[in-house]
Amino acid sequence: MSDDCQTIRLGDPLALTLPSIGCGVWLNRLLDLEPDLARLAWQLDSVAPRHLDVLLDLRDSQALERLPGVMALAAERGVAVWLYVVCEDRDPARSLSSLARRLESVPGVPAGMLVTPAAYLKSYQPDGVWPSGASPREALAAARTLWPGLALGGGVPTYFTELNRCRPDPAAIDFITHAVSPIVHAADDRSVMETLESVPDIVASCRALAPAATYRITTTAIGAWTNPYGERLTPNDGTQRVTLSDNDPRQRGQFAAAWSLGFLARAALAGVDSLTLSSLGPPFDIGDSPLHPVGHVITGLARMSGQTLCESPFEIGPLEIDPVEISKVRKRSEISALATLAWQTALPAINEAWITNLTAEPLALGLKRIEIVDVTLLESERDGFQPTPELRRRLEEGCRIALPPLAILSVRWRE
Amino acid sequence: MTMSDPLATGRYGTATVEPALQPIALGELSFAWQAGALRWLRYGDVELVRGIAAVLRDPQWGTFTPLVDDERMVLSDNVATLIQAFHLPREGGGDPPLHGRLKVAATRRRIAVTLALEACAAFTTARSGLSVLLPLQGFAGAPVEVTHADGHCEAARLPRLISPSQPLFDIRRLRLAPAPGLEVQLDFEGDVFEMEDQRNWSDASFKIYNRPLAWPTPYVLEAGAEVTQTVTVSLIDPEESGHER
Repeated sequence: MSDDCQTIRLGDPLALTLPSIGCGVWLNRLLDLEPDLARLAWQLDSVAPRHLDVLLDLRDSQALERLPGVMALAAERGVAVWLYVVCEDRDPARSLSSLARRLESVPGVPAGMLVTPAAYLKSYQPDGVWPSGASPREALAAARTLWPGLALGGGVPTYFTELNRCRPDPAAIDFITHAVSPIVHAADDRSVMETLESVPDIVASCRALAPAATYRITTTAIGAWTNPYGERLTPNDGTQRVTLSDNDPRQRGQFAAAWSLGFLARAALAGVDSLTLSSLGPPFDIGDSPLHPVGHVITGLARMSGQTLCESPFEIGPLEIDPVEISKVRKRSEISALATLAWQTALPAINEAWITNLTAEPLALGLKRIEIVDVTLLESERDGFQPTPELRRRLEEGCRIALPPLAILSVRWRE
Repeated sequence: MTMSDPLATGRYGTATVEPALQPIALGELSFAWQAGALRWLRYGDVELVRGIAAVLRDPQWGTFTPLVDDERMVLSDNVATLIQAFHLPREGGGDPPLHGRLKVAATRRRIAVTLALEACAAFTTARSGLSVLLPLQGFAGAPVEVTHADGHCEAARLPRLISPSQPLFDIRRLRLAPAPGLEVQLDFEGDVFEMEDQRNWSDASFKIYNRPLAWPTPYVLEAGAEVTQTVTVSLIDPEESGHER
């Protein structure tokens, strides 16, 4: 029977830390949230992201008007602000000068900046016709003149495709960055979860483009904020699973919580430095009173940014009782049915591990022999991680439990 | 599976339920059938193909959702035949611009998928045809033998790091070995096919699709135009494979 068990091993003490976890902010879309920034402030206080990736399209003058307010909220809370600036194609220096003047009078200083000429929000075939205006390299040079001391990036605010086809000079950049959308080509639940299989390859491929640069994956969520391959996003009333939509229902559900943990687990183990999940306000909002489930994931993980990763104590395997279940569990384990991540907490000798079931069926789960401190569960029926005395009792007795679909189990244990 | 609306909404943010998924097995060969698409073709534990589907793209590369007119399935121990007839509804009503039929014919070692499309009115699309997804495990970085439309055959390798441009063009046939002792052949008919490294978009697949990207898009299927494409996946008999080497 023990042959049927699969043990998840993350290896011996890992020379890896949990990436900085932050959220996106779309300044031009915050305008939808008048009258004030109170909601953003509440989200910052509740979730405490380590950084904000702020998309600032300089073609929209109102977006620039919004910048001081957001910078002030971030500065008051010690949250790093990374500006993802979209500038004019013709004269990036002029467009960026207006930003430079504005930045002189705002609270705080950005942690870094990516500058993208607007035409490069679209995708071009490697051997196709590329835009005639300023290139990202020229925009980067203009930004370097204006901000010689600032961390400046190479890459795109869109997807790895666009970065891979328009590669930065690794010697000219301080960080490399792109976003991820799992619904460009397929939007069914299984295909979206399967995107997690590609994360190690994306990380390795991006690292190879700029081995010495900090690697930041910018705003990643169940959705697409822009369509580089066509004129518009796919209309969605918020109930449909469709490709290239910025209003995917799963972003509000437990699904996004599980997927985001799966993404973080794979990205962290592949060595990404920073990950930005969902947004405060549209298009990938994390909710407020109550937070969407993904908001609870970000809340829990952001506070652990920088902690050393360690081996996960979880084991999946058969429930003892049901031979039919055994084959099902083994089958699912082959297709990456789960994601798990563990780290050393700031408390002495206390570790914490999260595990999520990425499938639509319950998953049999056990624990190695550890001294449990507490067990909580994030599932769709309840708001936030809640204690689960029953699951704790079964785990302490060495029994396997059935982890509900998409649920996230958190265990803290003493070393 | 039926789910109460609050549970579905809590998990997926919507009460809309996905189409049912039907597992089908013919001896060691297995696959699932969902909403007119073939998924996870496996031989034993080895995944051969992630999916085969008819994909109809709108001019913006969004994906049309066809309406199913009829679905038929004949299953035995050795043979499976699945047929789905569909059409695209016209926006605002009226006669559909496009009718189609997808047929899957499977035996224990071979599976053929045929798509037939008929445009009833001028139909504008970025791409319409069969799309084949190869999984990453056993494929990324692996050797592949490619036969082109002119019969020329070459040895290539699928990329390990993500390729910004198409790894393979003008594909008539592919031969790969996703696991030791297991060789698979894919034949493509009815259009010019090429491969894209879909890991660029975080898909867990290499995609083989009809109509080269270098051709103009969108394009128009004029009223009366008919399209027929077939993809055949065959397991190579080990003895035959041995002879060729």
